Amino acid sequence: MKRANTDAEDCSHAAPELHGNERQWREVFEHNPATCFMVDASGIVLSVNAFGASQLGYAASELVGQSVLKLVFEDDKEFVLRKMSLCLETPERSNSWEVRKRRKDGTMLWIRENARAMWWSRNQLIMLIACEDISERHWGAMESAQLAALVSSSDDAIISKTLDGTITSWNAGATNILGYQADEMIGQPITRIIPPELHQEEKQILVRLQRGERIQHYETIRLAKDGRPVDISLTVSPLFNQSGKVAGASKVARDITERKLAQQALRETTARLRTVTETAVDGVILIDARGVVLMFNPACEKLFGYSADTVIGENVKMLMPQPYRHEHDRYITNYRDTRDPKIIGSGREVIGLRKDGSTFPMDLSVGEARQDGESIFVGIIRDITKRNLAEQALRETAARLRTVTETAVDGVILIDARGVVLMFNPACEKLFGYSADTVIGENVKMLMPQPYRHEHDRYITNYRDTRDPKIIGSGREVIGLRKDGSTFPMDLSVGEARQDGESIFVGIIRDLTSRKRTEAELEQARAELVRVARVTALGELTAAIAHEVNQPLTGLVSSGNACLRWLAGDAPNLKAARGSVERMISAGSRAGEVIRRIRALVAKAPPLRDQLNINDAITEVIALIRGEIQRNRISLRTKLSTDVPLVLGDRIQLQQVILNLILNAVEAMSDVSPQPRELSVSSAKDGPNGALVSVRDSGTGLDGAALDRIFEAFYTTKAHGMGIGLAVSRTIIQAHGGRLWAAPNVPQGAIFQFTLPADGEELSSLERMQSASAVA
Amino acid sequence: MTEEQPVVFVIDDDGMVRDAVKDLLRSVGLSVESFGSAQDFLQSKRSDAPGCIVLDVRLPGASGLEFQRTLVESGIPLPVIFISGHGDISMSVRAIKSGAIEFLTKPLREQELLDAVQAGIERDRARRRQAKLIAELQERFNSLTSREREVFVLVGTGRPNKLIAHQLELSEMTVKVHRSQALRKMRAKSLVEVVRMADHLGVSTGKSEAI
Repeated sequence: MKRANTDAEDCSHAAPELHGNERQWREVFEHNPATCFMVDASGIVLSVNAFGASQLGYAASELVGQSVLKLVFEDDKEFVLRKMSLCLETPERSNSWEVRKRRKDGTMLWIRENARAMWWSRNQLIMLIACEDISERHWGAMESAQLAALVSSSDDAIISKTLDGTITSWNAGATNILGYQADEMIGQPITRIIPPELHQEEKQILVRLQRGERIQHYETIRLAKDGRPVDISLTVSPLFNQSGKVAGASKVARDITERKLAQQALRETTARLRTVTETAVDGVILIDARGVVLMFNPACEKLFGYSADTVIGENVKMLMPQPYRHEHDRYITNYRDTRDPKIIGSGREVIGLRKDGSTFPMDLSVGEARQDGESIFVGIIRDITKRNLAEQALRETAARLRTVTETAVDGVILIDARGVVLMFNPACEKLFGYSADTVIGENVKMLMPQPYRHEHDRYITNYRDTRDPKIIGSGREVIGLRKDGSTFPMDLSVGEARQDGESIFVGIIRDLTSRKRTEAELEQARAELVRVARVTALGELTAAIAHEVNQPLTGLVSSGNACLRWLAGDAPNLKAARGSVERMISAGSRAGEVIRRIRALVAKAPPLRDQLNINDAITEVIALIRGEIQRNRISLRTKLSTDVPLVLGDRIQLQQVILNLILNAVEAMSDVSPQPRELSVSSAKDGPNGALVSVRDSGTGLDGAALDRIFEAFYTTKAHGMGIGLAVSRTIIQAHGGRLWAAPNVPQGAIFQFTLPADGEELSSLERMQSASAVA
Repeated sequence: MTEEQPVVFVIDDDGMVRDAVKDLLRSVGLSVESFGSAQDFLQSKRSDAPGCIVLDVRLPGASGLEFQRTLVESGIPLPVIFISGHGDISMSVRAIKSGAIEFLTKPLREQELLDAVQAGIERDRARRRQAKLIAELQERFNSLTSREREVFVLVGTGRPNKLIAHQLELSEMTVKVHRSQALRKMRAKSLVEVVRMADHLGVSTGKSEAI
């Protein structure tokens, strides 16, 4: 290069001066192994030597007259222009630069140019440019720069070391992976990054290296600065010195932690998948696009009775009976050609064929996957024999339920939340007289008379809105309306069920007509019993009273008789007679005492003081003895006035009075055939605050004498009467501060009436009067 | 027969009734003894006289009907007149069947009571007479020799001497002797009397062996 420069200088000096030696100079110029250009100030080539022209692939004649810039690499043209300008401004001074040029064939070469401007004549500057091809050197330098850039920018750790293990280079990748900086590590033993247990391994590597071997993709572990082990893949190459001997090693280490993790994850996933598949309850079959079985899990083995070995490699059709077998090929082909996923998807119910030839229903879900660019299909198989059995059981249950419903004696109605009838069983048809067809779809109200009909919508709406189960539950007694317009008492139980998220109501209906009849009969029996009990109780009471009264009476009569005898005859025994009379008085007093005791007994039980509605008391009594009344073919009329005030009293005692009066009336009418037997029980307001109760009969009636005495104890006009009921009744009414009296009825019969005061204070004052009179 | 003064026993737990009944019975000249309970009566020392019992059917402790049975078992053959506070048909029927004279309800009707008491006393008198008669007959019968008894019993059955002789393996003559002795001792004046006596004594037929 130096030499070339010198030559060029020589040229530029020699050219004007050695004009005479032009030929010689030309020779030198032409055959100079360096390229020489002579250009004018505008860069037009004045001359170029043959070597120079051929170096660039041109003939000299092709270049002369052309701009020298034509040969310069486009990107460098400006740079060259600048350099040439500088050169022209400073004549006689050498300038050099490196520039890229293009050969005629387009290839590029690096040229070092040495240029010097000189005066060709007084007013003409020319430039001599000597060019040296430096491509080779340039590329080499560039290559090592590129290598260095590669090394420094590599993600892999690139480390070189001497054979004794001293680190001589440490790139950014190594810093990145292992955490150490280059200046920390260069000059350090390589063992710093090798786990102690692997030092032996490093020695073996060195041994192999000294033999000139290369170690590739060796997976091992190195320690990072923070002590963390790093999975790496190692490639170690020997480094030779100029004499061709191994002098060191270069290590390229790649961090494979993530790959390791990924591999681990993959292994685990695979294992898990395998476990899942192996232990799955459902059968799992993998087939390829031609239907060949690739996998057949244990559940499948169990399901089909084939071992996996037998099935794998065979066409999956073997597991299908006709007509599925036949269709399967078509399915697969069709899917491959059209991508129509006829077989893809879940929950088709198909039939499986076992090894033993038996078949079973199965649920088949098919999914598609890609493996190595090919479709494979995964089939998940579930044996639904049991489910089918369950479904069948359900169907049977439903059938049974239907049978039960159809044959039930009780009516069963199903309505939806709006009251529309969904079901109407035969018992209902019988009960209501409608056919199911007529009623289904109609509102259930049609089966109800007023006021139930009116209320029903409200019930349903209310229940829907508030969940207040007014209508839910058992045993409400309501009235049903038949097709013919007649009504009947029924027991209604209503249950709620959910169907498709909606409430439906089930009504169970029992006709109470017959039960009502039974109840009526029961009522009669009860009434009879009450009457018998009452008579018996009265009988016993009467017997007790009779005995009590009879004793003094016996004494009285006997002593009276004795007295008469003592006084009879010619010599009356006056002393004895006196004794007799004294005994008579004593007996009379005792009899009076007995009566007082009886009255006290009745009055002693203090009447309860409840506010009560006398109409209710009457209604209850009538209910009790309705049977008795009907048996005697008596027509009963009740006229209970609504403005009767509440009274204070003992309900049971007052009911005994009412019962007694009514039974008396009934008995009084039992002999009056064929006259009408009419019983009337009425209540009315008495004065401002009192209540008046009247019991009227059309019976035998009472004559004047009887009317005076009927309230006396033991007085009776009845064949079998005890003569006590009315006396006790009057005592009870008087204890309540009221009055009980009798009067003849018109045209015949009797009226018994009693009053009760309503006001508590009035009552107590009357009570005082009553007890005072009782004592007197 | 001389009539002894009869006694009426009144048994009633009610003192007033007891006294009144006693008063009434005494006013017609009857002798009356009264008791508050059956127990008191049974423990009393009673005079041996004809009489009857006026008994309240409702007694504390044993009922009147049970007491009636006790009387029979205790050898107190007094007739009973029941008095009761209330008429109970079945009870009265049972009382009458058990030998009660009457079943009277309180308050007592004077005449009914007096009639019943009179009837009771009469029945007791008759019973006592009968008892006395039988006792006398038994005494006479006891005085007979065993052979005379045999003959007397067989005469009482109406058998002729010849048959008796054959039966007893005696001569007809011997039978005649025994027969006359027996009739004399028994103070029987005719065959009819013999038959009646045998009947009263309970030796009329087939019972001769027992005696």
